[in-house]
Amino acid sequence: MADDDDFKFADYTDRISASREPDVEAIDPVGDVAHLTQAWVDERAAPELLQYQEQCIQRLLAKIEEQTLVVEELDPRNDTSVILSILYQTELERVKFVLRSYLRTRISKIERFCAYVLNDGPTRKRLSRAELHYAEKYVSQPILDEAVFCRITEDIGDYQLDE
Amino acid sequence: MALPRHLKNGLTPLEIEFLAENELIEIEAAIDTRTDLELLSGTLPALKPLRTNKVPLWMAISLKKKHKCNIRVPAWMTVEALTRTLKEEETNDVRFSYMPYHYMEIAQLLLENAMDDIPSADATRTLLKDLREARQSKARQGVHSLGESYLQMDNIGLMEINEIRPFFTKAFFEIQKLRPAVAGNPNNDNPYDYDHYGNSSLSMDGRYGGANATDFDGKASYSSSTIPESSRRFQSTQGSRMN
Repeated sequence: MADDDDFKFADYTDRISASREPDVEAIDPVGDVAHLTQAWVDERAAPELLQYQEQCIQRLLAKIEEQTLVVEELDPRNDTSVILSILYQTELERVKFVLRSYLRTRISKIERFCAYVLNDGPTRKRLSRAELHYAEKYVSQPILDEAVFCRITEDIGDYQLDE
Repeated sequence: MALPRHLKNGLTPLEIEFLAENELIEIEAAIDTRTDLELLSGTLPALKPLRTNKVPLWMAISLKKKHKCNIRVPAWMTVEALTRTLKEEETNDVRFSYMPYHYMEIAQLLLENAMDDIPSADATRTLLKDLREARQSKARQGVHSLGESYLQMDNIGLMEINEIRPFFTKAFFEIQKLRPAVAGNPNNDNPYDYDHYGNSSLSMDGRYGGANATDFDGKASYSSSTIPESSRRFQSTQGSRMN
């Protein structure tokens, strides 16, 4: 059995939400899954929008892609490979679930507090580029070239309308 | 709707169970994987028969379902340990006895999926139920000591926090709304009631008041994230403790 000391598996839950500042992003690439999981829990519990975990998510997306290729290359005729494949896929699904739920939670907050998110400086900085784009599109604006009716109350002769 | 309504009040019990499945547990594998397991979350040493491996609970359950491993019951979940904890729980009126943060979910998952690995499963189940009831009534007593600034509950589990979270945060918010009326009264010189910062927090932390949650030691913590730093240092003298 491997000694506990050289055991490298990341233990997700020994982190605590309150210890993290809302504007700080992780730099530890080893614990990306653990980090994202904690960010998800935080995002779900927090009333406000927290810092988007850009670096962490970029690295994870790349890892997910790599891992998917690894799974595809496992030999389906070999019993051990089949078990490995099931375990790897299970983990992939788990990570994807957290990622999806994390992004949806953020979108939901953006929709709910749209004006605030765009106008509050610190909050606006916590958005990803895609989220910022979404928020800006989400704000309703008047359609300025919509057709209108005008009732003419007195004869003004010939009149050229603007474009 | 980006997020269904039922997901908007924090994590659901199922999601908490999902988190608990990341906890590590000891198994005796019935297979030899030959290679290390290169997971996204890290590398696990190869599984070997007749050896003990520490793996995440989700993996243990997945292997168990295929009859590829036996799960070792954690030390705190044996009948002896639970009997001891229950006794402690019943003799101490206010303090929660020590249990892992995810004890309820882990126990539930093991009873569901690995019955045959648990010696005297029925006794275990009964003990867990008694323990849970004893703790639940303690958590409810916490309502009485919910003060204006924070509430401390050592050793409470995540599932237990989640059960009382909606009620506690709401009640806490309402108490806060009443506060300016008290603080605005110039005749009020009771240091217990008066906090000129007008801020406070609700925290269920291993230490006190979440003042510095970085020294986390396996206990539960929840803290409203809108608390300005300035108010935190007042917590040690304000509000009520429950331990």
